[in-house]
Amino acid sequence: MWGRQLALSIGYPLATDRRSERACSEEKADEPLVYSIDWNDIQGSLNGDGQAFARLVNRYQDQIAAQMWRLSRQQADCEQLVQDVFVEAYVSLKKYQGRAPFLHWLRKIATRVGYRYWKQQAKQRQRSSVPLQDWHRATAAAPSEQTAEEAASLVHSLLSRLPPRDRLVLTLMYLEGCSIAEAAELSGWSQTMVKVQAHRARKKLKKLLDEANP
Amino acid sequence: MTSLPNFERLALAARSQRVPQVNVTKQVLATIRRSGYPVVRVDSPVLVFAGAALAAAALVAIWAFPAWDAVHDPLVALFKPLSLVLE
Repeated sequence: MWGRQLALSIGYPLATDRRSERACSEEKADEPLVYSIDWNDIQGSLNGDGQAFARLVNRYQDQIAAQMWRLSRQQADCEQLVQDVFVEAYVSLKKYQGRAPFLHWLRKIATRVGYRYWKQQAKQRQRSSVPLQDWHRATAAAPSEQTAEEAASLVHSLLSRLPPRDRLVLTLMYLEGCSIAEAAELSGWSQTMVKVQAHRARKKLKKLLDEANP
Repeated sequence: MTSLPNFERLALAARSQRVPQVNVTKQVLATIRRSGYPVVRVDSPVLVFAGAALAAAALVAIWAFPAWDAVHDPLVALFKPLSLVLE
């Protein structure tokens, strides 16, 4: 099996191919199962080569940081979450079988880590401080008047008012730009589950917005 | 304008937000070293299991061969005097 996966792997990503802000919708459909450079470093890491794992972290931390930033929007939390993702990846590295690109596997772990982070936040009742009135003022403005940062801050503050499950499905679909199938793969839910959860989450979101803007 | 399309519009705009630079390589390696997570080779579980099975088989063999020699078949023991008479 290992040989087949290795045979299917081709080349390695060029330095210019690093898409630090790549979301689901921008991922290529014809990606190889696993890049040979990743495979070599994974094997090296499994054989105790710390530098091989350091190379994997260097190669993918930008993409994972972008994902964790969309979940947390706090520098310290983001760094901690990226660190948690790679430590968790290291611990379960022997379970990686090369059936999907290494980045996909990392993204799954990142989704799990992010969801756990939200659940902890929900327990501590930490919410974004942006009031809903600001949200309506912002949505009334023309799209060109808002920067991406302002938009992201508002979307994040609104999603933080939803339970973690609803927040997860809406973040994956709207912020990460994932399809139903991709959201299902990242969350570990079935596609039906994602559809049902998305429907419920949208209803809650609409209710929240309507209540604040009678 | 309804609220959900507004949300979708903002979410789309938010996708192009800038992401702060993060470099956690040193911290990750330090955490791994500090926590002492074991590095397990891909084929280690198989080798360990094979080694344990071989050791167990060797122990059984060491015990079984002398025991096999010492076993007396009760049926053979019953007919042994008779065979002497017949001879």
